[in-house]
Formats: sequence, C-alpha cells, structure tokens
Amino acid sequence: MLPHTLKPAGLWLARALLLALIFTLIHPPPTPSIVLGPPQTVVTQHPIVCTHTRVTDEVEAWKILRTFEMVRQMGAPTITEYFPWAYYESRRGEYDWLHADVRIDYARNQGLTVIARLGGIVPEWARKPGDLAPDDPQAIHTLLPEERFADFGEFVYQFVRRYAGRVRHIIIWNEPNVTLEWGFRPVDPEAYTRLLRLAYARAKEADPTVNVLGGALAPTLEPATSELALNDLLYLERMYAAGAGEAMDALAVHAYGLRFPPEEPPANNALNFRRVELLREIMVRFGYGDQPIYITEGGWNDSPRWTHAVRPLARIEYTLRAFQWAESNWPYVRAFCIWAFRYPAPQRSYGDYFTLVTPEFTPKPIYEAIREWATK
Amino acid sequence: MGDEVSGTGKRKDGRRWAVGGGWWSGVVVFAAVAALAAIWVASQQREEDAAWARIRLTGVLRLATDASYPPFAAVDENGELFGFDIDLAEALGRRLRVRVEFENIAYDALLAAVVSGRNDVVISAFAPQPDKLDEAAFTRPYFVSGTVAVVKEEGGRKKKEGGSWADWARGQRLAVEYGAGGDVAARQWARQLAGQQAAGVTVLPQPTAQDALLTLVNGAADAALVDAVTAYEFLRSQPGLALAGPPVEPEPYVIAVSARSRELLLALNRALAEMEADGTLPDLRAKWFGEAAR
Repeated sequence: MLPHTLKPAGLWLARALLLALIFTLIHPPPTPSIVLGPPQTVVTQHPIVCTHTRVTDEVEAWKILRTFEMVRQMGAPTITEYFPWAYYESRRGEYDWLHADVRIDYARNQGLTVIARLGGIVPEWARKPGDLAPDDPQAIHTLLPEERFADFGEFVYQFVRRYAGRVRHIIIWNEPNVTLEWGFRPVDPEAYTRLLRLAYARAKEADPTVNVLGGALAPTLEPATSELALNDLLYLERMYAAGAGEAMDALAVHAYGLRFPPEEPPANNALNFRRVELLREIMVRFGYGDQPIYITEGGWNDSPRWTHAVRPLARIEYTLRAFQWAESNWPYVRAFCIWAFRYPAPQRSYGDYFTLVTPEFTPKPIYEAIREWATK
Repeated sequence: MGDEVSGTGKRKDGRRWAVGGGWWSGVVVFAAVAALAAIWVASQQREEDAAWARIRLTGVLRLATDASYPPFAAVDENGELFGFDIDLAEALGRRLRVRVEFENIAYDALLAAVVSGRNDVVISAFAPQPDKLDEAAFTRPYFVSGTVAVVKEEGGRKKKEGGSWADWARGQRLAVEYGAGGDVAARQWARQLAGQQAAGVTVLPQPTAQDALLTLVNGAADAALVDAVTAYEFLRSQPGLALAGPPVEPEPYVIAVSARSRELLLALNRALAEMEADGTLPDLRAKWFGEAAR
C-alpha cells in the first residue's frame, strides 16, 4: 500500500504509466518515413568517380536518402558502404535486415551501384575464443576466431542471397593486415585467405554472379616484426601464395596520397597514391592480371593539424588529378572511392577533413569541384 | 510489511524506521549498505586516482604531445621541444608542483597514450572528441582555434554585434582560403542569402589563408575568413586589422586525460582556471600568438 500522503501523486503516476503503456502498445514500431520517388539515374562524364558513404550509423531515414541524393548529384555512380556483421546477426541465426534494406533500397533508388563491405564488427557470440568472458579485453569487436569462420561464411551467404541482383559487389573484411582490424592478434595472411576462400564459396553458392573483392589492405610500411601491421605488399604476396587469387573476382585497394601529389612515382619504401601500381604488379606476377581493381578507399586530407595532410587547395587539385590519372593510366581500375562522403556527426579530429560534405549536409568546395568535373 | 512504514518515517506504533525484525536490524542493514558504499567509493577512487596518486608520489607528470605543429609544439635544431603547449605544460607543472616529462608521439596515437596509461596527459592542440568520452576526459579549453573573420579597424567592415554571421556578411566581399572552413561557411551564407532581395555575399577564394588576408589588406575584400592561428600570426605584423568577433566556427583545444583520472582532471581544471584568472594563460597566448589571442 502506498503511504497516505503520497497517494494522490502515486495515483497520477500510475495513470500516466498506464497511458504510456497503452500508447506504446498501440503505437506501431518506428519504420522509415520516407516515400521514395521515381528511380533516378546518375549523370556523369566520369564513371570512375565513387565515394565511401558512411551511413552505417545514420539513424534518420531522410539523412540516408539525402546522402545518396548528393552522391548522385556529384556524378558518382558507385558507393562503398559498410555492413558490420554484428548489426544484422546479434543472435546467432537471427537476422534483422531493416537498416540494410533501407540503405540498399535508397541507394538503388538514386541509381547507385553498391559495393558492400562485409565484416568488421563481429557479433559478441562469435568473437570469444575458448572460454574468454565477453568483457575480456581480448574479446574485442574485430576478433574472429578461426573456428567461427564458418559462421561468418553463413552471414555472407545470407547477405548475398537476400540482396541477389541488387548488390553485385562485396568486400570480405577490411584491412586485415592491421592488428586492430584482426582482433589485436598478429596479422595472418594465410588465415585471412582461408576466411576469404570460405566466404567466396558461400557467396557464390548464394549468387553465382556476385563479385567477391578481397584484400582492402591498409597501405603501410610496417615490417614483419611489427606488432601493429604488416606491409601491404608483403601481405598481398602471401595472400596469393596461399591461394587467394582463386577466391577473388577483383582486388579491393586503399589508395591514400598523404602529402604527395597523385603523380608521385611509386616505390617500395614510400606510401603514396600510385602504390596501386605495386599491388597491380603482384597481381600480374601471380597470374591474376585479368582481374580488375576497385579503389574502395582513398584520397587526401586537409586538416591543419595532421602531419599527413595537405592544404585544401592541394587536396582539391590532387583529388581531381588522381581521378584523371586513374582514368588515363589504369584501365584495370573500375572505381576510385573517396573516403569519406560524410559522417553522421563530427569526429572533432583530423578525420573530419577527409569528408566531402559536413554532417549538416553543407557541401565542401571539394564536393563542388568533383561535381563540376564529373557532370560537366 | 508495507503497512508498517509510513511516509513520515515513523511506524504506526511510533517507533522509527524498523524494517523486518527489531530496530537493530535496520541499523545493521544501514551500516552494511554504508560500508559497501564506502568500499565501492574507495575502490573507485583508488582506480580513478591511480594516475594522480602516482603523480603525487613521484612528482612526475608524463605528458604526450605531437611536436609537429608550431607554434603549439615543435622541435628545434637542438632536438628541444618548444612552443605554446610546451610553455603551458611547464606552467602547469610549476602550479601542480610536479616535473613534466615530455614524450613526442604521433597525433594519431595521442589519445591511446593516455587511455593505455602510458602517459598522464595530452597537451597538443587537441580538440575534445565527444565519441571518446567513455575512455577519455577533457579539461576546459585553454585556447580557441577555428575559423575567424578579420576586418580593418578603420573604415572596414563593422564588427559583428548580435545577429547571425550570415546577416553580418550581407553585401560583403569575403576573401577565403579555397576549400578551407571559411570558404565552406561563406558559400553557405551566400546560398542562404541568395533567395533574398537584399544584397548577398561575394566569395573570393584565394590559394592560401595568407593570400586571403592580403586581399583584405589590399582593399579587394571587406573581410577575410581564415583559420585563427594564421590570422593571429598575420595580425602581429599588420596593424590596423582586428577580429570581427568570436570565432565563426570555434575549435577549442583542451587537455586530454584518461576517463579514470578524475582527480587529475579536477586538478588540471583548477589550475587552468587559476591561470586564466591571474593572467598567466592570457600572457602565454599573447606571447605565442599576439595580443589578439590574449
């Protein structure tokens, strides 16, 4: 029984709670409130233009659509978009595709081809090797024990089957040559290749026409003794030696220019935009020169605070020249995706200076320069 | 049992706060809860204060900075660190009565340096990152950077007094560094004002921030929108120019510590507040960036 002096307030509180409960029960669950218009077409003079959108964590449907509208208006017919495994299969065998459906439907409505980056965040149920507790620091979100590779393969199968005919390109994992992306374990090109081969087989089982992209390696000069990463050239050689070539339809590449212009010649001991050519040499040497390359991340940064950045004018000029360089010199490159189109919220760090559009959808001059070049 | 306790804290029989058995059981429960709470708080404090306790014990503050961003921090020809952040750290060390040990770390790794416990603080022209608040904590700002508007003091564009920046910019020629934050802002104002009958904004993109400021000096622009650090440096050598107001897009620089270093955070905030009030911090800003930054 409630204390006498609290009765009136308590009753009102109970009534309010009851009303809230009834409202919750009769109110439909939140659904996307956007009615899509007629399908759009990307008008572009340079179909190589692409950008890595980042609406993975975007909550509001209109912002997802607005992002894809602006990508289309920029003259980019292709996007890379991230689909973290944990977002869709938080419980084993139970899939929630609502957010992925929205993104893919909206992108297609705007005439965009989606390159789906799969992996990244491992569901908690799959990341524990042996008897590690869920909060064990070793059970970090990128940790995929080998005994769980088949579970990831099943996710790939489910994803490709669901979006067959709508998503024609998938990337298996991201930057596996960096320990942070490989569960803070020593990087392992042979293990990644086993994962890639398994995922390739499951993807083809779901849709034989889907294009499987492997690699997506971080450009780095870290030696084999490093605890942080492994040189992407060494890593790719070991991938091919382990049989990765048979498990890819194309190679995904990350190409950042850092402080160098796009024409800067490549070198084994240098990180620059044309490092793509060194990766290409390895592909050819292992007999996979017939496979294309997709640059799924790349570009320049114009933060005044980051030592690897350039001034805004140089960023714009380098970016446009990089598109032209790729078009003129790299017939095997199908797309060059600028990292990143927009973040849902500011990072308050140099990462903000990679974007083409602010979180408020204000286009930066680099966006307008790309649009001008691509559509005119 | 609920009938036994009234809202006034007395039992109906007049005895106070009895729960279950006799009065002593209430005391026991209260004491147990208090003891558990004290243990929990103590353990939290031990964990949270580990860095601060060690700093007091050893008298050493381990500081991480990326010495590649003059005039905040850089390395001279003798390999010595110098700059505003270095002076600030030394001043904080004197105020906290500790010796400062500097470590030069790449910008990308600064936050990890305090989160991992390798260093106690980051002082490195570092902006607070809201999405990192579960692992890091940030002090009050000691410097505000970002994009600023520079005008001529006499006969130039008026200073901003109330209203929006778009209103302030109406009818003006704004020199900007092409592609930089000032360019983004000016183009946005131009779009906002484009549909209105009143005069709009003319944006004059220049290759560099210096060029934008020279465009203002030469009279081809009414104001220049450039980054604060470049503006302060320019204002030191160019009399007759002034800021039109607070930063158009402020970017505060703060000191970062681990989220567990609550006592250290409090001590740093206290010290920064004292240094702001007694003029130490304004003097340091004036030393490195000129009077406009005071």
